[in-house]
Order: sequence, then structure tokens, then C-alpha cells
Amino acid sequence: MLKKDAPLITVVNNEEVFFIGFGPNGEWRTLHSLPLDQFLDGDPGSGAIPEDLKKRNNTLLVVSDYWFGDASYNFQSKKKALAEAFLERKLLADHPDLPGITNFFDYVFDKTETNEQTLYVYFLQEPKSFELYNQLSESKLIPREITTPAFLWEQKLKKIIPGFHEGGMGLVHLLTSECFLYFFSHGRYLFSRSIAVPDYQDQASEIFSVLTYEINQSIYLFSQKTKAEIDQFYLISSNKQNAQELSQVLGREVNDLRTLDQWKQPSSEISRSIGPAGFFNADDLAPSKEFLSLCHRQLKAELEWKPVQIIGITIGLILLLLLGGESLFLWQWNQQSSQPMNETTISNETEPRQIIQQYNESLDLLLTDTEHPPADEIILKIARSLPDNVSIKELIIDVETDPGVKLQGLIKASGPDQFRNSLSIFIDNLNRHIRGTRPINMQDIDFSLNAENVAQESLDYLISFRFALP
Amino acid sequence: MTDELKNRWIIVGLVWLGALLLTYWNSNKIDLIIHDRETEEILQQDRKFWKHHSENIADILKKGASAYQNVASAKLGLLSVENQLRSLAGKYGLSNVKMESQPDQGNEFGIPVDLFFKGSFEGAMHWLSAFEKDYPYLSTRRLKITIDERARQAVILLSFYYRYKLSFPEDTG
Repeated sequence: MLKKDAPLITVVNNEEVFFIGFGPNGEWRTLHSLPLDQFLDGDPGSGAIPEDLKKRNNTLLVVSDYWFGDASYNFQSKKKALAEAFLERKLLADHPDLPGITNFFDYVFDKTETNEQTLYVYFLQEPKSFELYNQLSESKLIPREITTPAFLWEQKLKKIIPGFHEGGMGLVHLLTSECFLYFFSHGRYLFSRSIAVPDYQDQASEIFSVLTYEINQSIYLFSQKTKAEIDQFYLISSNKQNAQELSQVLGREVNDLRTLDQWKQPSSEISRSIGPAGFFNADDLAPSKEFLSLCHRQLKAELEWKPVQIIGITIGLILLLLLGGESLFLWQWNQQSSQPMNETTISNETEPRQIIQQYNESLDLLLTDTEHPPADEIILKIARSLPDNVSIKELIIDVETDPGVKLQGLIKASGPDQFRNSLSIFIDNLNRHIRGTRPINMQDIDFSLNAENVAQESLDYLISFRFALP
Repeated sequence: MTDELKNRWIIVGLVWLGALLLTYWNSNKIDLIIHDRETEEILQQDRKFWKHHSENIADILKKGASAYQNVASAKLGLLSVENQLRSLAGKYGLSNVKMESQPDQGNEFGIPVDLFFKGSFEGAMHWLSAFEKDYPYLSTRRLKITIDERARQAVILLSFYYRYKLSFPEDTG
């Protein structure tokens, strides 16, 4: 989480490791250097690397072009997972002596001239490169990206040369004691060569005649590889006259790259020590630039997760802050609202509640009790409904279940007409005095003639019926 | 996995765990506050109701209290009830008073009791009227009146519940 200080660039050139920083005006500054073998064999904790250096962020490791290998494979799918699995298998099969190669490769999807889809893969093939990476890791100087001057040139030329993507292109990079030849086809780096030259300041023409052979050899190799010719040739060196001289020697036009962009010539000391990488400025080497580079697969995965983690932490913290504020607010609100509820208040508050509860219970009981009229009242109402010639023999008042009245009575009548009249009056009176769930009608009445008194003047009719109470 | 990546995952985990815990705590707190508010609301309504209907409440409570007899034991209460009902029957010239109760069959409504007596229809009506009026803790279940015209008397079988509340001797008055 702690951000390291200023960026650091590590350059390996001529078997020496240079730790480079940039000055305020963008000039290269060698912060520390040591022989590669010494660095590889040394103990990371021995003090060979200054502690100040370890605080820096090692953004880039620039190694010689030949430390990198590349290949193109026909591959139809565009799925990254499939491509990576395929490349891991392929690289291990092609380089069984380099088991670490599966951690140090990257690729781009490309197309051939016949529009076939290919995978262009580039990888570390120099055994020392793995040792160097491990040593840098142990020295807490893990490089974020690893690249070569050739890849840096590819990106730079893409920007400044119109039509770089079309046809073949050659670049001669003449340094004080070395000359580098870079060849590109359709905007893609093809191969490079490094040629040791004597100091050319005094004897340029002699050096060019030496270079001509090497350049012609390389042009031949280029045509072998691409089945095409080189369309453009560029030279970059400290002397403006060199392009003209090389044109004459080669017998073809060589353009001076300096005419296409503004260049800042590195000091001869930098040029001698860190080689071709010294020609690039801080902007060219910035991590945001899209030059080809590779990153340890694990580190790459971790770097991919980093923004997810940072966003996760940020959103989580914001959420935590908001929820914390809410918690505080709720706590204060609860404190304020529960403050008056001390023990006395609670006891004062529960009293009316208990009383209301008792009130509700009492009310329920009284309502149940008064749901039906009292038995004595029902009897009085029945008695009031009786005509003179009607008497009661038995009366059952049921209050608890299915409230109702069952009545057995006797009607003394001279005949059926009087019986009917008396019964009708009785029923009317009952319906008037007792309002049940349903009025009583003639059909509800069961009656029979009392056979014992048939011979008498008046007949006794026994009646029986039941009616429901409200 | 580098330490840096591990540490970041730990921080992510802790931050989100904290957020989840706070969400849970807040949710519980909100439920608690809502519950307190509802309780407070009910209490206020109870207070208001009590304030505006205190007389009515007192009356209902009094009537409600009279619907139960405070006794030291159910059997003692039944004995007292039988004694009072016998005395009431005597007052209205009723005879053959018999009372049967099943204290062990008591339920939420009270103890079921059956009462049997004979007498004039008028006397029975007076007795019944007094029973309904003066004994609110006796709740009628069923009443059967059989009238024997020749003997000019009514035979009454009354089933009712005896409602009581057990209380300490000093509370029974």
C-alpha cells in the first residue's frame, strides 16, 4: 500500500547493471552500477545495493535485444485463456531448458498478409534474465516491466515515421563504440544486430565500409525472412553528415532520423555505459507508453487485481464511513428517545397499560354475559306472549351452546280453528317480544292432540317448538 | 502472492466485514427504535384513552371485578354459594334445593354447577331474578323449568358457571 518514491529504470548493457534515474531536466543519471555477474552472485542483503535505491519504484528493466526471443503461431481463437494455455505448452516444448519461461512471456493477436490470425509471442530466452529477475526481487527491486531497445524503437518509430506499418524498414543506430541495426516489417520488430565499432569520430568512412558488409548481410536476412525488400532506411547518429555518407556507401537512400523529430543527444558517458537505451527520454520509457514489454505472469495478475482491490477498499471505506455516521446518528437518536424512559416513567407507563388490558378483559367478559338476555327476562317475555288458553309445560333455555329456547305447551281450544287462532296469536306475540335470529312461523311448531281429553268440551293440543336466541 | 497483494486483500476483507457488521448493527438498531416507537405510541394511546375514559374504565373494571368472586379456595367459594342460594330459595318458599358441582372440571369459564329446586312458579321467578341480578359471578348456562299444573308447582334445573379468583385471605374481605 505504501507508495515507493521516485521511479527507477534498470538497464543491463555490456554485462553491467545500471540503476538509472532522471534529473530535473529529464537527463539520465546513473544512481548505481555494478557488474552483472557480481550482482547475480552477490547476496542481496550484503549491501551491494544501496538502501536508498530500494525505496525507489523499479518501473522498467531494459535488457539487450538478444535476451528476448519471439515467434508467431497460427491460432484461430481470440480467447485469452486458450491462447495463454497454448503458448505455455508451446514455449515449454520449444525451450525445455527454460522452465521459468512460462512466467516471462507476453503476446499480441496479429494477422498475416493473407489475413490469417496469428499469435505473436515474445519471451525471455536468456538464462541470466531469470536469475537477474530473482535477484532484483530479493533486493526488493521487482521490475514492473521488462523490455528491449528494439521494442522501444518500434513504438517510437510508429509515432514519428509515416507509413511505418507498410513494408520493410531498417534503422542504423550508431553509437560511440557500437552500432545497432534494427529491422522492422509491417510495423513489427523483426530482428536486430549489434556490431562493435571503433570510435568513428575520426574515421567515419572507414567504419561505414565495415558496416556496409554487415548491413548487406542483414538486408539479405530480412529478404529471406519476409520475402520482401526494405523500403526505407534510417540512420541516427551524432553527425548529420553520416546519413549522406552511408547513402553513398550503400548505394541507396538513407534518411537522417533526426529530421523527423527533436532528439536530445545523450552524453557520451551515458551512451557508452547504457548503450542504445540511453537515447530514449523519460517520456519514451514511461509505463503508460504502449511499447512491447512483459511482466512476470504472477505480478501481472497482481497488477490486474490492484485496481479492483483499490476500488474495493475505497468503496468499502466510503460505505464504512456512511454506515458509521448512520450508526452514530441512530445511537444518539436512541439515546435521546430513550432518555425520559427511566424506571419511574416505565412504572408510570405500565400502569395504564395494565389497566387498559384489565379493562379489555372485563369488557369482553361483560359483553359475553350480556350477549343474550337474562333467563328471567326471557321467561317473562314468553309469559307475556301467552294467550289465556295457552299454558307452558316445560321450558328449556340454553345459553351456552347454540343459544335458544325449547318450549312445550298446551293449548285448550274448542276446535282446530280456535287452536290455529290461539297459536297464531302466541307466535305473533313471541316474535314481537323476542327478536331471535329468525322469526318463528307455523311450520316450526310441532303439535298433537291430547287423546286423553278428546271426549271433553274443549280439546287439549300439545305444542312443541324451538327458537334461537339472538 | 506478494505480501502487498495479500495485505490489500486483508484490508478489503476487513473493510467489507466492518461494513457488513455495521449494516447488521444498524438494521438491528432501527428495528429496536421502531419497536420502542410503537410501544411508546401504544402507551400514549393508552394514556389518552385512560385520561378521556377514566370513569367508564373504572366502572367497567368494577363490573369486571364483580364477575369473579375472590376466594381462598374454590371449594370454600362453592360452599358459600350453595349456602347463599339455599337461603335465597328459602326466602321465596322453594324447597328440595340440591346443588352439584364438579370443581375438577373447571375451565376458563369457571366451575360447572347444577342446581335443582321446586316451588311455585312465582317464587321461582323471583329467585331467578335475584340470581341474575345479585350474583354476577354465577353465569347461567342452561335453565329447565317443568310445570306441574296439578301440583301447581315448578321444577327448576339450573346449570351455571361459578367464576372465582383465588386470593389471599386479606384480599377476600
